[in-house]
Amino acid sequence: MGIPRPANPAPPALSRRTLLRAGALGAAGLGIAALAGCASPAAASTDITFWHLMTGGDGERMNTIVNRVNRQLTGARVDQTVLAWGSPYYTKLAMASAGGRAPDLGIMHLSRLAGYAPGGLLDAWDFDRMGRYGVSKDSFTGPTWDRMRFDGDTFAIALDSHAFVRFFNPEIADKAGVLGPDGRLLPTTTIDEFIEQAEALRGATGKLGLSYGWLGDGSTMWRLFWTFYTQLGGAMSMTGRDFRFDKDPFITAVESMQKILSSKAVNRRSDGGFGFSAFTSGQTGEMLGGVWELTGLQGSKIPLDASPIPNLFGTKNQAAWGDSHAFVLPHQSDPDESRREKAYEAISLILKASFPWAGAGHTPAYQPIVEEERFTTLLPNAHYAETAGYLQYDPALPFAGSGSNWQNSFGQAIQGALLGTETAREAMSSFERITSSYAQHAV
Amino acid sequence: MTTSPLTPRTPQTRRPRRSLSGLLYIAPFFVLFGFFLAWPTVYGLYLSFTDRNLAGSAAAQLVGFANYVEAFGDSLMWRTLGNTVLFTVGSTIPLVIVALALALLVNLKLKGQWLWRLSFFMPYLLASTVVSLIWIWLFNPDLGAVNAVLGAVGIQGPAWLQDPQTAMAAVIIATVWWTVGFNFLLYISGMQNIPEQVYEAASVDGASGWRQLFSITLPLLGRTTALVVALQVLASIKVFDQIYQMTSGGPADSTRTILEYVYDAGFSNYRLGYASAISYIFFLVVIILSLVQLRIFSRKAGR
Amino acid sequence: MTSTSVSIPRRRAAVGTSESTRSRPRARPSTVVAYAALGILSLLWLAPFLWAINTSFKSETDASASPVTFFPAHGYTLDTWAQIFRAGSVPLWMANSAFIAIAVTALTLVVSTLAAYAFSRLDFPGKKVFYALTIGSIMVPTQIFVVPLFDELLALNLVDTYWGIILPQTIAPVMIFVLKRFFDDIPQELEDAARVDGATRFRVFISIVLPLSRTILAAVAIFVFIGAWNNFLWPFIVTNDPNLMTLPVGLQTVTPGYSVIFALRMAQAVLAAAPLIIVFIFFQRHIIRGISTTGIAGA
Repeated sequence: MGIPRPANPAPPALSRRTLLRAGALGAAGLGIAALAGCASPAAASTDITFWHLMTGGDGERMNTIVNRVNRQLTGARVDQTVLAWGSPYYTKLAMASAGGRAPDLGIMHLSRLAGYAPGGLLDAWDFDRMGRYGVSKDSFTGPTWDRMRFDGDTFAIALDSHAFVRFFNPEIADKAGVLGPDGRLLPTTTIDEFIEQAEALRGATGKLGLSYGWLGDGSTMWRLFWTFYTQLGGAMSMTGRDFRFDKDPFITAVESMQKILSSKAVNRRSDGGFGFSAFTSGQTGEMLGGVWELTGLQGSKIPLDASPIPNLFGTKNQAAWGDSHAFVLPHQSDPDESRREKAYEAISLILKASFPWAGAGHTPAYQPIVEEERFTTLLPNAHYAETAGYLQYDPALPFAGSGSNWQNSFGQAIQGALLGTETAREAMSSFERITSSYAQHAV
Repeated sequence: MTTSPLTPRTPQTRRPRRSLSGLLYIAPFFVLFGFFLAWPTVYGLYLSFTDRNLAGSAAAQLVGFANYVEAFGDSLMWRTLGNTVLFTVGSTIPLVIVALALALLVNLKLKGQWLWRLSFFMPYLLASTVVSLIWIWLFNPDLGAVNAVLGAVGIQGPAWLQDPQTAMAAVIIATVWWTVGFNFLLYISGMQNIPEQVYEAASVDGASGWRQLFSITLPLLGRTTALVVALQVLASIKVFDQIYQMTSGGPADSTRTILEYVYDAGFSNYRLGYASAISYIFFLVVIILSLVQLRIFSRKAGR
Repeated sequence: MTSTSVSIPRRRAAVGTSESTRSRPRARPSTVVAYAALGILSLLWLAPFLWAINTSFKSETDASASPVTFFPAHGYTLDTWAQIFRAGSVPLWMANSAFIAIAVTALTLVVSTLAAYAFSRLDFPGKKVFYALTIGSIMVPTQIFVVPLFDELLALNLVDTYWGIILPQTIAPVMIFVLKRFFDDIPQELEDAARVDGATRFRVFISIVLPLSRTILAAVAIFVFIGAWNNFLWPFIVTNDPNLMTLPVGLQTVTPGYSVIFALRMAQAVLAAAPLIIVFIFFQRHIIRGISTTGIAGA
């Protein structure tokens, strides 16, 4: 144990010299370019670096569009980098901008703009310049245009709008007797009617009626909540460091969600995976989800249609949670003007080529596309395209928005209530406590 | 094990001359140390006295002890310290006992040694992301294998990672599976250091197998156990990876440990100054713990 | 080595040698119980990984079937695996992990052996202070200065570079401690003899001490390699560029917020785990011997 015997052979691959040699070879083979060029920004002068967070079905469509645009773009190439969805993406974007290593183009959700525009992390788009490429204010719907702007400037250009909707299986609906003659679901105007319809679907499947894959996912909880809350006329705002919201709509919205989850037609503790697979295997007749799920749903080959979530509270506010992917210019202290110009051109081309984006379930933001016949006859997209007109974006607070940590915290606050172990009131006080902490420290 | 009792240490025949060449030898290490350990530690301390924010364009301002005051008044911070203690205790106990039990079984020298060792040590080779992916899948409430197995015997399994009552237990289960292999090997080598003669003498005296276990094996493994516990505690309080990946500190903060909170405050909420303050409070706790352990060790050695 | 039999009375002295011999237990009920226990526990420990492998060969529909079944309803398929090699950057991530792990291991070994030798054999001004710093830094949890370290790398322009990932990982005070103790145990006569013959200190270090330390160097290398390969936090924070992602970090990015990809996730997990497992199977004896020779256990 004390004195090693020299005769002990070490595994040859691990002797120090071999390791050093391997390391050197490794450096030569893999990293030398990166090591040498590490200090300078990566892109060559004709590459427009573009960061986004689209994966899965979204990612494939984006790929199609970018390839198409690269064929049309002269003298430049859009070079995409896909990063993970969620708060890490925004953290990375912020860190890259702060560190002077920002990409030329980025994608941001419009709902996050309020957190990034004021901090100097983004450069504004010049719409006079954009006009030369055929893109103007009239290219977008009202709610979307409003959210593209901040403090008098336009910081983002929307690619699409995507809402939280209701997918359903028309065959099962028909069998359950809830399908109208126009092929749409029979109208429901209250939560109770909505639940009854789900229970009828359950009768038809013999298993469950409605899929809502919310468990462990603050974003999914938020989207249904926000739909109900805004249908009830609720709003959220901040004055100074003071966060304000409407208590009654909050309670009603959460209690409505609780009611739905307590019904026999729903698996109370269904996460995204279960909700999706239950719908695609015919165990449920409808699924509450985001329009981006379309690609996956169509892949399962079940009979499929969609519609907006109806107003279930008897108010005049037709509302649906929604957001938009939008292009932003991360701040560069000394931008290369010719690259910027190419970026403008690339964006206009992407917008004009954005019809395939609808295949991913989104509604293109560029109005000329939406008005074309090939879109108005595209199903099921055409059945929910109207949501773009009454889309309810997240409140314009610096810590709110898609993929924000606050959305996760929201989920933490109401999860107990949704699981049935807490009341809506308790959820609300958790929510208040958590949000005021965010408000206190907002930049 | 430094030397066996049979080979006494030979005294040094030449005292090294005090020269400067030693500094050259340690220079590479200390250059790296200075840049990548010492400086960040000091700079981090400085940050903890500022309001540095990752997303803000304004330069950081000194705010004195404000971050520390806030941290001490932050009930969530205390909660995370509590969770860290809970995780440490909850994971160290099984990680020691299970490792010992496994080592005892394997040390019976039954056939198939390679298989036993591979089984128990293999998870240790997995990256945290792999472990998390696998266990997230296993713990899925309705599609996962764990609840499927429980269902087969008539138990309806909980929503392991989403129910505040069970989330911590779920993370601990995954952690035990993942890291028990290391302690297991420590115990194996500890057992191999117990001289054969001790057991033979005991057998001659008529001690049974179980008696040998309790009177010889376990006591002689005392130092190994002390080491295992010490290393395990230090590792457990620094837990981050699997918690960030499996639950992100939720549900309802039930699995948020202090380092996860530091990450959350600093990288998700961009409050680097505040996150640094919490880190240093944590560092203080680690120092105290380490000193306490050192005390216990040296007292034992003196015996 | 020791042959500890828990339940077999040792009336015979047949197992009396101290060299490692496999005892040949007779087939008594207690042996059967021991085998059964080992078998069950071993299966329990392998089960999660086997389940992951099983899932990876199913279609997504079968993988997310409810109720859960062991065998896929539509038969096994290679589609998921094909998808990974088509769409993913797993080979790139593996290459990055390999390069970085090798570089970290090599650098750590060089730096640590030099320092450990100095602490063991040499005397120089401030030696005690430096040694105390080294040992003291073992207690510092690396996560606490992740934030300032990131800031510093930003200032040094090392963010999103290989060096930025590698250099901070080369600091291994525990290894210095272990190596020093090992060097302490090597009798000085060998070195003194060589030096009397005119060899320099450094020559002695390279030609005599290091070759004698092969087992400990191998053990240190293995542990450092495993740690570097599996490191998640630091590469995650310091890289934005997907071309630099290591395997653990890259895997993290393929969990989209939506889409049912259970089989895909399991396939990626299995693929990520495979390299180290293969290494372990080949070097099992050395790794296990390594833990013994580090002297940690018996201390």
